[in-house]
Amino acid sequence: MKTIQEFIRQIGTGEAVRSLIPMGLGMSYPLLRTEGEHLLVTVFYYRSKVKPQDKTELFPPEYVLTFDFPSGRLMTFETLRVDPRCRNIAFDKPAGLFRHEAIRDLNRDQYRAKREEFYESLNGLIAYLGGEGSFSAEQEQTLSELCTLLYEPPLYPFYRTLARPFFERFVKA
Amino acid sequence: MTEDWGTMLQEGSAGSEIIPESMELVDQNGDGIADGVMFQEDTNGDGVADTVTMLSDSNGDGYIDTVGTGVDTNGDGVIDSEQLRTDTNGDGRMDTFFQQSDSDGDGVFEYASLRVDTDGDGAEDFRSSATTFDTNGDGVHDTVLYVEDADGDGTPETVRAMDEEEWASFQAGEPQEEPLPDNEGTSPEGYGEDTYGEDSYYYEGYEQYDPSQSDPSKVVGDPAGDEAYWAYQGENGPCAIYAQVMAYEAITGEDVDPKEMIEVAEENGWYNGGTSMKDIDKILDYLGAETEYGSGGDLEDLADCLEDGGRIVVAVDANEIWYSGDSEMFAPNEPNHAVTVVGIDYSGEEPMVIVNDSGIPDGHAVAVPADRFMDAWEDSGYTYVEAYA
Repeated sequence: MKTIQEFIRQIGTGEAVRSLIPMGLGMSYPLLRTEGEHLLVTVFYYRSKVKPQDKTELFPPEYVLTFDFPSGRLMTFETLRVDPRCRNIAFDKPAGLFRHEAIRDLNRDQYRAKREEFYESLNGLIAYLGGEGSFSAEQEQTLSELCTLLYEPPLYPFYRTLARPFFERFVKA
Repeated sequence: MTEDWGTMLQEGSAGSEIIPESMELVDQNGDGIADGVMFQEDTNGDGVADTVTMLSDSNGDGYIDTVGTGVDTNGDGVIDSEQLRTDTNGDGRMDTFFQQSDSDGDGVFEYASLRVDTDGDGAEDFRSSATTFDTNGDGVHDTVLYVEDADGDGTPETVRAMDEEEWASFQAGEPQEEPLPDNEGTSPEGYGEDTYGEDSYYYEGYEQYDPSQSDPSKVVGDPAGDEAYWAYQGENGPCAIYAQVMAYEAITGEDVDPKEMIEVAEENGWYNGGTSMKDIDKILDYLGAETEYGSGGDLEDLADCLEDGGRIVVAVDANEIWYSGDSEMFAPNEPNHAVTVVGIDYSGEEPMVIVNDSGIPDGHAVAVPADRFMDAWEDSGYTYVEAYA
């Protein structure tokens, strides 16, 4: 089974992103949902402006892409700047700052290690959703803790809106 | 308590004594049996009826379950405020209250609200309101602000502005897409401030190429000469346009205005606040350069191109070039920047890749350690555009 790390690398350098996403935008953490037999992975792309002393600015998402897992086929693509649902969003104003309180004490390597841990945990859920193995309450707790740790609180409203069941199950906002 | 409840009630009614002007029985469902009573009142005593009230038995059980009131508040002869109270479950208690009003007398109800006691416990637990606005001042109500507190906790869960079409769809009960939240009020203070002051952090971890500190025989390309073609892009976004222009100027010696090229790119769909990786060769092609677009490149490819008189535009994760150590950990590992490779310096223990970087002030001939450059380049799958005159 393809890992989520491989999948993210695949879509990040794949045709859809290379063609549709302007360079300079970063990919969000992935959000999962199932639709019939499909396991779908949604990510959004947003701008950031790196600044020192935890003042890096995170801007609202501009593009939302949903891919089929594990094929990586693009299922939906949305440009939020022209979406009537987003007419109240000021895309050129930051939604908040990085880094948030929960990760304030992590250094770069520790942050990356947590991210890797998160992906591994997500692989467990993906395997379970794909009918391979189980996903215990303990695993769910671990995944929830990592989601809550890593997902950026200023972007919570967007994560929540774009994949409410996943967000509400795993992020303890 | 010194006040007498009876007195209070009397005082309350004495000031608004109502004398019905007329009263009539109404057969609303046309079955020949009166099921409602309508009366008109002159509430301000000016001799003209200004309030119409209808009491009706809508379900035919013999009890009044609906009270509707229309009021002409400004005395122009037109009802401009309506209220409707309904006992929907027949328990004898009004559980639904609807009202709407036309405050400016233009014949359009600008405000409507609905309050409901859904579980019959005597407390309203659903509240909603819709207010229309003329946002552009053309005299036409064009926007509806809908507010809904569906659980009665006093805090609205839904606040949504809709245009006429959306409002009609909403009222028709068609499935609604959830609006994304706005970020007004959440932007941190001081956002957008210049970050290039004395305390600039951009220069952490790299230095600029210094010909006096290197062995010319071990330098590929002409980084010292190409410094002249560097330009600072200023705003975020047009890095790939600048990188292509810098490459083109270096291979041809011609002067090209990058701002003009941004316009060209916008017109052709190659630039939309940024450039997608697929389009990082389009301006070079437009200018007439010979290009080769590819991915999976390596240091040797760069050196070969430079030796052949070319320059290379590469897509990189700038965070990995600009920042090092733990001082800045926000690195989403995305190719987010394009730079022009103008040389490779093999003089030292570690090769240095020399780039013209339009994204930073004074970003000409920036020397990046090869391993760090490769890490940054890896995030684009080593995407490159070789450009030749």
